Amino acid sequence: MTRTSTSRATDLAALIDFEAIFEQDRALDRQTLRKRDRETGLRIADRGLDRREALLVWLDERRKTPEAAPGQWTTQGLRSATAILFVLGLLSGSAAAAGLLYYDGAHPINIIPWLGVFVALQLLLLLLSALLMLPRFVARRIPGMTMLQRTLAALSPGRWLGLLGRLLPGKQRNALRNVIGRAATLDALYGELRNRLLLTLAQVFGSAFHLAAIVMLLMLAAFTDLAFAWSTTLQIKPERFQGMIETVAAPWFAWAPGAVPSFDVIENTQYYRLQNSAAPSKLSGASAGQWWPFLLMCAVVYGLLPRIALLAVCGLGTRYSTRHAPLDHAGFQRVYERMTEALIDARSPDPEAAGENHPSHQTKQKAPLDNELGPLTIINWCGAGLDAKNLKQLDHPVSLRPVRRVLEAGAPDIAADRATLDAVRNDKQDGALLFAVKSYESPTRDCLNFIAELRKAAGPRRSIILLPVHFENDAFIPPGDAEFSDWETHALETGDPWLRCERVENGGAS
Amino acid sequence: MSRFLFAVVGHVNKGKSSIVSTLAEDDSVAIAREAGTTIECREFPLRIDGRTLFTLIDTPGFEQARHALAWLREHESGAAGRPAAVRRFLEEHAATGRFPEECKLLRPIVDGAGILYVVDGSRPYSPEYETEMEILAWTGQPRMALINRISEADHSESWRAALDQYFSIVREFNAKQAGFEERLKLLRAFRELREDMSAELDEAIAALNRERERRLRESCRAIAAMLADMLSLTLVERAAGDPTESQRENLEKRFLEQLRLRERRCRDEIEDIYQHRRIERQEENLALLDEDLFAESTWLRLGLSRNQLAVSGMISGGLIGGGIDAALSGATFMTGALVGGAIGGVSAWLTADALAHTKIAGISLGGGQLKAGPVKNQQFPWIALDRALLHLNALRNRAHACRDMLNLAASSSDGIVRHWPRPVRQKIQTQINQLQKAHLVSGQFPYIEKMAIDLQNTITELE
Ligand SMILES: Nc1nc2c(ncn2[C@@H]2O[C@H](COP(=O)(O)OP(=O)(O)O)[C@@H](O)[C@H]2O)c(=O)[nH]1
Ligand SMILES: [Mg+2]
Repeated sequence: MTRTSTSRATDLAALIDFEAIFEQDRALDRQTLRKRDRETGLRIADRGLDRREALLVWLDERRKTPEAAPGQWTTQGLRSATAILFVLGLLSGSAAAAGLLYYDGAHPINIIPWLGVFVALQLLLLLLSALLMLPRFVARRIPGMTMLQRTLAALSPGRWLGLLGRLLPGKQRNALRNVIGRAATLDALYGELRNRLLLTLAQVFGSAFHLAAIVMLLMLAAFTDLAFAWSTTLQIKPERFQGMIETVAAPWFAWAPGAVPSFDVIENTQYYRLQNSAAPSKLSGASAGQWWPFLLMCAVVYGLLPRIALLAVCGLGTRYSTRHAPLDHAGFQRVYERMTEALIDARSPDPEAAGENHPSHQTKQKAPLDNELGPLTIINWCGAGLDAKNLKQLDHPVSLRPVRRVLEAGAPDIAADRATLDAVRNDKQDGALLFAVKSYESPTRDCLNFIAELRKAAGPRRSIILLPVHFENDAFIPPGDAEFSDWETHALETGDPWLRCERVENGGAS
Repeated sequence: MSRFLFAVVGHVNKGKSSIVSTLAEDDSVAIAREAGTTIECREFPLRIDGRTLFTLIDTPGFEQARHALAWLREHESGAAGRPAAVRRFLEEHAATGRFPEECKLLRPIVDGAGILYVVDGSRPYSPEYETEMEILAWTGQPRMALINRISEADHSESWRAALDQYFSIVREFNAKQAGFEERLKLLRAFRELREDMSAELDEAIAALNRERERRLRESCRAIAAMLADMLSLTLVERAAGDPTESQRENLEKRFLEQLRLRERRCRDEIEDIYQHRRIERQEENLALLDEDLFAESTWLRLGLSRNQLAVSGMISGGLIGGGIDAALSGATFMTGALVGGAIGGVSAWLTADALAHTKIAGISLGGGQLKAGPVKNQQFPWIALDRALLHLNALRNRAHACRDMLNLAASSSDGIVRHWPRPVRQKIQTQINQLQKAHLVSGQFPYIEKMAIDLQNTITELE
């Protein structure tokens, strides 16, 4: 099954999931992430996807587990919230309308509170909403706006959580803090989106509120006999009041003149609560009922329409900004790099199987060199270059011994080894064997085998002294610690009590 | 496995494993003074996205070359039959076990591996080595010699004369000091040795170059993120009354510890990026420059600072406002809440101080609060940056065979940033300023990115 096209649109759930996965990824190490994402990248390499599409494929692969897909339930929650708010709006709208239009038959309904709620308050709220929707860079230039924004920030859920966190035990509190820290980060990235979402929700509530109020007004007007009046504590002449009414009705004055009360109606429905009984005749039933189209238009024009318009703007804006979210902050950048950059590794896939580390031998208390070493037989391994002459240079007791003969071993020609062994075997005298090796060379199996042969040839009790040396242009160079201990270790490992490794510290006077 | 193999062979303890470790950037390779550390062949396939381009093979060294050659000579049937003799050697001694090391190291060569023969150029040449070279020649495989210098002395010339007899290419390569360029040079030499795999080697070289760039980028990001964290670090200590001197000291100690911890994390990250996971590091401790770290304010039993309290005042006020809002029109969630919130907030802010010094039933409702950080010193970020760059620089040039302690003592270097041209320093300073200003993590985001890019460009350009 091959997917032929990849959706390029992101929705809110996708954005939430991206961030959630970025957050989870912080717990994983670099190498694991690179490997995982490169695998995804390679899988889609031949599909010719652009960056955005590739990121969306990546998201799809990542959100296979429910923990990695909180976007789903977040948007579901948002949907439920919208529904609840809509119902709440309907309930409170009808309740408010029912309250404002309460008519007991004795007193007429005063239209002033209705105007207050559906005209004055709406204008104020619209103004504030508009301010809230200002993009940040504009807001920064308006004095006082930052203060307003700070207040807004104070109301953000992140802060609420922070306060709540103080009630929690330490561990949970820390976890919560991390979430909030992350939320603050996201705020910078998605703050505007979040504001728009909240505004959208508010508009849902508002629209429902007004819708319910309007329906309530229509129902009451249709099925009951309402009597409206206007009454304020302020002394307002009907003429002035008419002027105000006409201003309010300006938006629909031209095309729905029926919904603008005439001067007669206004004059006839002025109402003084105290003089209630004094001027009943003036309040004619017909004109008292004529107010409702005006009230209806107020609710429609100042309440419902702006809410619906805002709802549309916010809703579309939210959708646009989620669908086209640029996916360009550092988190996305890193994922994309991990998907597109080749993994290169030259290390061994197998674990190191290093040879047993030679236990560092404590240097045994060495017996002083036996004075009865006798005259020495020097055997040079691989051209170590020790002879009777340069032996005298060495700052070591063996240098005082006479040298009887110098033999060679370890040369490319193996036959020479055999000759040397024979010479040792046939040597009836008992002098020590001075086995000289190049200190800077490491003991090889070849050399150690030869030492074993030498032991056999020399008999079990003849002293063999292993002497690492290094002559360069006839000058002696003392062995380094590591060099010497390499030889010493191997000598000790033979377990041969008559084999000892001697160290020459320096060349003495030459 | 790829068909392209290179076997790294030679006498024991001449740096075979070191060379492999450096070329493969693998610090798990055992490198030791003692002979016989490597007892088995170990493969190091260079993989790009899992596809092997070629494989380096570390081998145990020659231990009985003379005897092996003697055996070969005995079983030779004319010069053309020499590779066959080597094959017979393997067959026969797999069973006898008389030449374990020689068998292991010759096996990949007989299987077609190119030969990289390692010698120590710091020691004089000696004719005993010719037996090893001779055996290698008998295999008939393409051969290159690498002169590694384990210590200071230089005897390469004496070696060259002999090596030239047996090897088509002779190169110097210092396993412990080889930097990136030397490694690439060696790969190019491999191309001459095995012309049939030049495509693979070219691909490898290109990939290594990209990887180097990627690592630098990642490291610069890690450094920029470290600076951002350091510059936004604050710690708060509370006291029932006014903070005491020991509290100050304590807080300063904790503050410094946090800074150092953050710095160490960055070091570890960068070592991880460069695949140096076992480094021992020696570095002077990060110090704070002489400056006043502290700010004092008051706190309240509720656990809220004055500002937080103002916010909570806004919220409770806001809840009332929210109620009004919903009941009246519910036009927006917030507009009603805003008015109430603003009122609640202001009153809470005004009463915070009074509350802090009130006691109820002997428990004080608040007290002094000591806040350490953020670091405002202008010099500090530059020092932290310089230290990080010194470390980065050392790692970028460190061969994986190098197991010495990484010494970052300030005395051993006169720093990096001071050598940057002025416009570069100004650019970085701007970002440092922004990081210092934006104490919210969210605000730092873009500047971390910008700084990382500038650091990377600077390092690349000045290289
Ligand atoms: N200073 C220095 N030491 C080296 C170099 N290469 C190898 N060594 C040392 O030589 C010894 C043997 O090295 P190793 O790689 O194990 O040799 P192998 O037995 O041939 O694999 C170790 O102690 C290394 O530290 C080098 O280039 N410089
Ligand atoms: Mg080795």
